[in-house]
Amino acid sequence: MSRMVIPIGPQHPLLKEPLSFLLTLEGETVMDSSMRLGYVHRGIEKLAEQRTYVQNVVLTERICGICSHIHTTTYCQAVESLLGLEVPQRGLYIRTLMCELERIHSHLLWMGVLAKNIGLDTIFMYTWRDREIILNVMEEISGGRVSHAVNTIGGVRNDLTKDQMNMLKESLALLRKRVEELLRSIEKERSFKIRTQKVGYLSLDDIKRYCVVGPVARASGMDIDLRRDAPYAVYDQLDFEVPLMFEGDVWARSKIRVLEAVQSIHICEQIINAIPQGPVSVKAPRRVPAGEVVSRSEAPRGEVVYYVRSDGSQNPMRLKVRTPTLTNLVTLPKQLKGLQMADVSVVIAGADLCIACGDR
Amino acid sequence: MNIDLAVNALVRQLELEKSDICSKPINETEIKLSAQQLIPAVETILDAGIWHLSTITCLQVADELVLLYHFWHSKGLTLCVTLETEHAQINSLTTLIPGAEFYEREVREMFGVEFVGLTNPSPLLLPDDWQSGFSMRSEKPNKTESEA
Amino acid sequence: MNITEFLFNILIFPGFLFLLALALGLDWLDRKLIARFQGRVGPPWYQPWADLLKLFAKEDILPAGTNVVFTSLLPLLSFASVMTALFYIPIAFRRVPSFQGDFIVIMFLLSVPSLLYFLAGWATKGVYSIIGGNRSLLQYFSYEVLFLLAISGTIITSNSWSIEGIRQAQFEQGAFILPQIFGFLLALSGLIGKLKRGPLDIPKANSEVIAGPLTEFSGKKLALWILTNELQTVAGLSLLIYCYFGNLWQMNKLSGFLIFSVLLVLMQCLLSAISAMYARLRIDQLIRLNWYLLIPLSLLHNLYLIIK
Repeated sequence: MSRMVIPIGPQHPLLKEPLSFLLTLEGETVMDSSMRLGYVHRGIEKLAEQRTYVQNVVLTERICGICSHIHTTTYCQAVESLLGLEVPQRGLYIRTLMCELERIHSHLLWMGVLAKNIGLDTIFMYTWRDREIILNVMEEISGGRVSHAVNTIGGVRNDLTKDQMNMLKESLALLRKRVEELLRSIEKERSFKIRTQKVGYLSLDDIKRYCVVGPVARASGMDIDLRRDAPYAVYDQLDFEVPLMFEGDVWARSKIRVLEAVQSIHICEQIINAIPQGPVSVKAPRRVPAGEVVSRSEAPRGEVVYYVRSDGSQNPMRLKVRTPTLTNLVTLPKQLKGLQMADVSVVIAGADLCIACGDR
Repeated sequence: MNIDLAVNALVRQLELEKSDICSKPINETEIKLSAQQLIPAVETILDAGIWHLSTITCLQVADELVLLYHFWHSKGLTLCVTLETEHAQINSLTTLIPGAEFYEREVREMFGVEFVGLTNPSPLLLPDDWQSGFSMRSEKPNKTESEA
Repeated sequence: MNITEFLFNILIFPGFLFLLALALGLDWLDRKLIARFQGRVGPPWYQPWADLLKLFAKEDILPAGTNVVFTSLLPLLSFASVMTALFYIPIAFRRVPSFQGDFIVIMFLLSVPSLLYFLAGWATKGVYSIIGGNRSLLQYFSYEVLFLLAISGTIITSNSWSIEGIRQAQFEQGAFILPQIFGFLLALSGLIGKLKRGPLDIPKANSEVIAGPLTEFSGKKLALWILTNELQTVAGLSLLIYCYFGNLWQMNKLSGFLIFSVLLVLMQCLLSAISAMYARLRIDQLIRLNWYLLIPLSLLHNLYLIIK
């Protein structure tokens, strides 16, 4: 049978952000694939070297359009530890709250993208409708739906009012119902299972070799979650489970993500009940002493790593960002090989790519 | 705990000095190595059960390139290798850790470090006809840390 | 018959304009229903008309190196064949020429667009078009057989090869829908494949092959393709109505038109609900489902009808 090379991207309906695949097909079977990034490379790491530490909070927020808060969290954590700042508890609680809201938002959004890619538009519409609840809450708290600008070096910029907490409580109750409904439908819906089960399989060994992180790793039975293994912010004071599955296919990944959303709702509810009174931030000095730090946190897609090196001036000497997308991307050629053309969209969606994160 | 065991194993096998090891904020241990020691060191670490390479950071300090290999297993472990900026060359980790491929390709494009044995050396982020050199290198050398 | 009446019949009622209104009306119903199922508002009633007008006004572009005459002929031919098929189907209370074997003619005319659709993929030379074309051909060999086998249950029972004959037989034996409910459901699933509707929109799955064979089409040609598909919906559904609900009305009565419309709307609801409920199947899954399950089932069904 003759071979055919078909391009997927940089512009293709299945990709939400530009990324380029070249698939070599034999009939409908993918024999080989190559990948190119860089279509949304904005040189953020270089830009950060020319801006002050405070300006970089704004810059790192722009790395990603979905998990913007986790980037500033990781960055602020790094700079705070260089400064030796102790962030007030209330500030940390609000920071954690936003992280978890963002996780629910990201997982719902992702679920919609997967459903859209397998032609199940109804779930796509439902999840994106439910995602609006989260966006409204985040807008109410921070003033921004996607870029929240909550974090600052030394704490957070917004305090939570009584009204906001009440709204949050109501929204979470509604959301819990909706997410549990979603969980039921992905467990029961036959056509969804037919399309996603046994597709894009990654074994535990692959996960280790490719250093895969986040829900993709947990769906293959790799029990890692930085929130529990290396707690940052206030995760050591919260009670939550890390869902784990062993199937290693796209279906397991989708179920893991929905289960995580349920856990995140649980965490948010705990935060509302346990949040202490007090200030939300401390004043940070402008100059950062020389030193270097590696800061890690668990983004919706997995481990985010920031490396900050200071030479004692106003600007960081080096800011390195490693996003979970970049790690999970490496496995795609392996996952794609031998698949049907129709499953390519499922696998690419299953990796939950955020190309803007990957390119920086 | 694994990190401490791995550090001990590294010290034993590569006969490192105490001064090569220092601890950094947020549970991070940094070990200075020479370029030739990298591959045996990574093998030792993998044997100790630390399989997760978070990323590879490259930075330019004066006329030297510093490569930082960030490993993680409940705590961080960073291997630090210093190279000359001209003809910077180091062995690739891709045969040991396939997941290092994108990190190495990125460093290669942005800083011009040549990774010997890189499985796929085609451009990742930059266009095929990129002519403008290595964009992450600084035009004028930074002050070294001691000067600052 | 004078010339004005002839032109009126051809162009307005029950001819071209009426069929257009019916097809676009069903399209609107489909879009509105799916939107409501998904918690959206949905388009206003004139949206399909607006879309069609807009497409006709758009510039018509083809990739370099394609045979312009050939690619222009494809949508025209498929449109013409569906229109011809529609003139043999007694939609509403329209009287049509009926003869033994017109059923076969209709089936043939309705399958012509599918073949031309496949050719459209090859003619425009895009990679997505070619893959989509291959898929449409694969799909053609499964649903076409299923549709024909399932609906031929009514031919067996009525012992007639004409639409009118099948309808007449139902006046004597009662509607076929109840005794042949399985045949009806199988024919309906065949029809979904024929119309390339979700969950069997495999040849034009947009997350995989963009728009399949139609990826490179634009302007008038695309409009004609879309119109063809909508007219096929009308033709397919009316065929099902005649074969399974044939006894519900007499010709030439207003009540006939009403009953026909109600049935049409109900069937469209069923199709929309199925589209909204299921994820798209993969082509190999479809073929396996078809040849291992649905076609043997319809064969058994026909065997049962023959023995009975």
